[in-house]
Amino acid sequence: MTRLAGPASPETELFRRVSPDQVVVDETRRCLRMSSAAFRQAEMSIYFQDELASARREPASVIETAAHRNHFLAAVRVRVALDLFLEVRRSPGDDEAHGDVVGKKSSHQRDKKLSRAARWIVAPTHACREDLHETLPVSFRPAPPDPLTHLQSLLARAQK
Amino acid sequence: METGLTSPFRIISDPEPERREPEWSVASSSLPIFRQAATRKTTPGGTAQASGMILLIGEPEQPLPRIRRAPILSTPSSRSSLEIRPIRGASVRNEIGYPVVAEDDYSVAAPRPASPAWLDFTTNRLRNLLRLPASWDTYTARPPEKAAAERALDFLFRHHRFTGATPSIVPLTDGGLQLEWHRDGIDVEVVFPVGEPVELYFYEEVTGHEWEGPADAGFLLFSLRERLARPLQIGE
Repeated sequence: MTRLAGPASPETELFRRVSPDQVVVDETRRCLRMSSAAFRQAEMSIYFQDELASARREPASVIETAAHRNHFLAAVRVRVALDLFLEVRRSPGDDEAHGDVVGKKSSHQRDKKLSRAARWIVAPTHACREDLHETLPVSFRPAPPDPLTHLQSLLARAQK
Repeated sequence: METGLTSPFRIISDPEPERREPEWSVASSSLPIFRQAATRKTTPGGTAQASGMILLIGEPEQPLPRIRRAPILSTPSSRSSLEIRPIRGASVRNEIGYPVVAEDDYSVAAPRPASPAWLDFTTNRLRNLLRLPASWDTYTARPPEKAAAERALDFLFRHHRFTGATPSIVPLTDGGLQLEWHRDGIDVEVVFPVGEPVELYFYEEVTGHEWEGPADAGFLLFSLRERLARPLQIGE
């Protein structure tokens, strides 16, 4: 495999694991979405789409281990990070596709912009449709119990 | 400043320590996950009244003792909304949102019927989050801190209505927590980072207005007490 180096194209997708605890209820749309907290880190681990592709790996391969079996996967384009003055760098360690999105101290508005632009690749059931990736294949995993209970109770109240 | 519910955590700094009896303080000081919460005031006639809640927001690290008696007097008016039961033999183990009122015969009330609509989900969710191990995000996250959970609950009691919408609660990688509401076309996120001030983020879809700043001020500025208490309408 040829290791990719240097800057990625602005349209390259960056994949980030999303913990089941960072899924929240959207009462306006009556569905589940990812929290901005999933993008709140000065140095945020991601996986490069181009590197995964060159190794013939599916994006979901980064959540295939037992430790990640309840996790979801979101994608955000390099362009979005660059527009927010974040640095996108390759940092292969255990995984050749690994990288980081690095910025100064996190701002909530910045995290929000990242989470709004992010799209699900591996989504929880009941995920908001608008948040599913438009072009890449999307798969689903069971929604985390706490947000699901929350969503179900508000839907039940609205039906009354 | 206009606030919502009275914060239930004031008993911790008791303004009249000489009137406090040992059983009360033992319960709060020796049990790290046990929050004894009550407001207390002295009437002009010299009697005192107290009411509040006991909240358990974690797994008990040791068996909780039975409360033998409570030290503070209540006025008859405070009984009207509470079901009073004898304290003797009452156990608070595994109870959540257990309001108490201390009476002149040292008794404790049963759960108050009108607890906040959001309380059950919130305390259960906090309890689940406080069980998270380090690296819960599969990266380098710290486990959520109890202090952050207490700050979040305190914020809700101060600002949120009894009938307010239930928040989503997510852990932060620094051990803090975040409350979120996404409803009625607005996004509200209240961040409780470790060792930093509480911040609020507000976004309104129709206007595109975005704001970030101190949480207390933001909650008032955008009338969030009222906006987050509006009932959901079908098709809204």
